[in-house]
Amino acid sequence: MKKLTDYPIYNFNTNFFLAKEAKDDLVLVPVIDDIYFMSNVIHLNQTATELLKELDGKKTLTEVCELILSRYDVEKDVVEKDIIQFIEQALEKNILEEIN
Amino acid sequence: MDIFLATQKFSFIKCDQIEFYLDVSKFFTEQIIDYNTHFHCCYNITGIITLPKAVPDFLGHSLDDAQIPYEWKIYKINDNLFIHIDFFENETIKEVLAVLNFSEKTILVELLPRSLTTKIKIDPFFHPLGSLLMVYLSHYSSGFLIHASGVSDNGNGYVFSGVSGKGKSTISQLWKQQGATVLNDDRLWIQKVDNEWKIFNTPMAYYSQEPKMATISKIFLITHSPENYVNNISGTTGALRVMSNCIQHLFDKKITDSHLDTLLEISEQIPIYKLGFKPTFEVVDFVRDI
Repeated sequence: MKKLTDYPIYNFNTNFFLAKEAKDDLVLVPVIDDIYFMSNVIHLNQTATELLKELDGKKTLTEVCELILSRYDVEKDVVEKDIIQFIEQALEKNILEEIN
Repeated sequence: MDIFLATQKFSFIKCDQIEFYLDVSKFFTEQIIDYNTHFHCCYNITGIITLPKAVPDFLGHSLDDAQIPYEWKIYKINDNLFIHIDFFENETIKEVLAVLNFSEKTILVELLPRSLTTKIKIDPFFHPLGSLLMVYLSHYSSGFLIHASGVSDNGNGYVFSGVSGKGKSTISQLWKQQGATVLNDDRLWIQKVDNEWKIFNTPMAYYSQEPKMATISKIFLITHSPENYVNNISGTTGALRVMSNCIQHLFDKKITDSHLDTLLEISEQIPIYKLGFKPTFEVVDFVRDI
């Protein structure tokens, strides 16, 4: 099982997505060469939206985890698991870019 | 000659070598709602089509079984949207270049005929130019085209949306036989007019329909099912499910942004449901009771 410290710092990959806020959710439209792929739109729920907004290219995942823990009454293990699950899925969909 | 589509009016001029005869647009010469946009359209014959010196922003082609195969390309340059159509087996027209300028409200169409001496008889919204123009005309008016059948029943407008094979024609027939008016069973133009969401039918090949509109009460995403059932999927999920049935060739950030805004707005104001239905009259009362 991976830990938060195994991951680098990430930023939202704005080059390949148009982000649209919808209430508490976020809709991401993939864009390649100025073509908007409406049939491959990604819908992020409130939790995923909050996580993505915190991935600003500066905070480590540990810092993001601490931020979430300061906002909600949840177990650290649960937040860590949620973050790792989100990161893995987001990487698969090219939503994140790694900051070296 | 004028043609009316949704809230738009189109006036035409043409060169002598072109003769307009109304086929798909036959019944669209009367307005059914006040127009808020007036386009001036000019159709000409040319000996050569000069394409923009740019890479196309979008391209597509006819279905594999099309009688008259074609390819189309879209170029967006400043305020001009260029639509180029290349016909492979059309007996009279070889190529078409249309330039839509939404700021100026103009549509200029150049036709390259197979023979410069032959008179060209066309409907101004001939296929696929009409369909491609309507995709962008609806978007520029903060509306959209969708694969859907539309029904008007005692003041209620119902949209039954689904891609091919999901039952649009089947459910339309059931409503028609129960006395409702079917606007169209395949494609609709949806647009907000005076705070109401309206559905309009549009000129379509193989349809001979008078223009109709209705105010939308509910939107259903349909699928065949052994039993009738309905699930509410309003909100962002509903908006995205509706979007997946829209006819959209988007390449421009502004227009994509606006399209999403429109879909999110309609999903907040009109209930959206997933409807599984079996093809019997029971589904009509089932929907009326929701």
